[in-house]
Amino acid sequence: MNSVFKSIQRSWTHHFGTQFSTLVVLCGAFSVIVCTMLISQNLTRVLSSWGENVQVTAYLDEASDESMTEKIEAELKKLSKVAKIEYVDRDMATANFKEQMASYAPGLLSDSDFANPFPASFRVTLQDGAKPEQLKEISEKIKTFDGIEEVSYGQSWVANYSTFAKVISNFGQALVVLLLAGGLMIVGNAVRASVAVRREDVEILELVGATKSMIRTPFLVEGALIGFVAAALALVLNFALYSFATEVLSESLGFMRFTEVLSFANLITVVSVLVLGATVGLAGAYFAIRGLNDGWAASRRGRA
Amino acid sequence: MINFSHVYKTYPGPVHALANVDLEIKKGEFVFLTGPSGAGKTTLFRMISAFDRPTSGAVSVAGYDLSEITENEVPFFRRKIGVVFQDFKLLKDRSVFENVALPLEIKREKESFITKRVNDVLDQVGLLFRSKHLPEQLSGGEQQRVAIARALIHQPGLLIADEPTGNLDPQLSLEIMELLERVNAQGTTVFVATHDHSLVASKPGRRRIELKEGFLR
Repeated sequence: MNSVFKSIQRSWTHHFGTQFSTLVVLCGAFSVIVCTMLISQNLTRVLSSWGENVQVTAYLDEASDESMTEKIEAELKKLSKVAKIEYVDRDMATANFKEQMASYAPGLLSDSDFANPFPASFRVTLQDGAKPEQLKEISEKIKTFDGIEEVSYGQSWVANYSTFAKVISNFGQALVVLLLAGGLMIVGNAVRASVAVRREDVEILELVGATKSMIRTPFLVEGALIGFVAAALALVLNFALYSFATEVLSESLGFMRFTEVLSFANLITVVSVLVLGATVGLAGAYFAIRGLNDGWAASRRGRA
Repeated sequence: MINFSHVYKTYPGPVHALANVDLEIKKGEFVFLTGPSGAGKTTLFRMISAFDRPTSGAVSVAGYDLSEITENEVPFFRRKIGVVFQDFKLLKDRSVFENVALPLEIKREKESFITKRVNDVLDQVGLLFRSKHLPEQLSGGEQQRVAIARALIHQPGLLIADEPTGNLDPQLSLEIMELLERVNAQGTTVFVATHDHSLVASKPGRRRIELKEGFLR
């Protein structure tokens, strides 16, 4: 192992320019990958947090009596993904309305002639992580209950949110795949250039009896290390960018409480990015060295 | 030590680099291979060092049948021979000591053994005082002596040298030939390819074979 690191040290000492440019370019590619992941992840979180405020409101038929209401409540409790059920009778609905309208029509609160137009309802809150499609599914089910007049769940918002989240997710995935392929080519080309510079060294090592693994290991370890370091630098850069962005958002859009929702990559994501970096580096190095370290022609039949 | 039987080598073109070569070099011999440029000397040397295989025929070197050698056996075969080239083929980023030590490091010998053996061989070729220098700090003759020291460090039974004096002036060429003769005197089989007829003429007692247009004369 000592000889492997000595070889890498020599490579950096004698081919610093090539190695450094590889590191910089790869770090740039990984930075864009991590940035895309973070944007996609946080956008989903923001949309989900807004989505959490969407409830299913089931308005009861005016003819529904107490036993019917109890029956509906029992049916609602049986539904999966439901976190909370809240009964709002007609008086409470009126009170809520008056409260909300107080700033616009101050006299409304004391108006004794205000007739109550609101039906009683159940507010159904879904569990965390429930998807918009499930909201629609539950609403459809509630509609079929006896004594339900109408169900409302912010249909148009949910449909738009769902489409938007899907587009962002698909775009992010496509971009990550594209950048990974690019990263692989960058490492491959960089290591190929690095190996080409040392092609004579490889020939000499073959000549004096080094095995394939002895020759290739330093290049592979070097590729993996460059990938790992590039990914680590990309994470650091993105963390700096994330910190700056959250600070700006909390100052300018503090009322939207973005900072409570936004998050940097978690430990699993950080480890995954580092492993991905090392893997891309290793694979790029493998494909580059495979074609160059080939002094074994005498042992191959049919290639004379 | 070296045995070629009805060896042909044809490159795409077709270019017939070797044609029906029969050759036997016995253990302990010192043999010159002569011939003009393009005669097939390098092709023959590439076959002896398992960098290439014949189109047909059989090649056997140092107990290995190179017609049947497997990929895993190639490095171990190369550890049994020593090879010297006209362009020295030294690692430019390593010192003289590290270049000479390379075959022993590859064999994973102990560091104390490597140090002793490298110093002995560098002393033998008269370059102990240069052990910490890089190849580019040496003269052509000195670089060739380093290459010979590296080829001898693991005490191979066979030393092959492809134009070892091609880049050297006549005086340095003679020094290198004397060094190779000393190596041969210690029991190592030496096979030297050269197109320098005056060099061969200066060693009249040595066996000489000639390649011309791929044929052995």
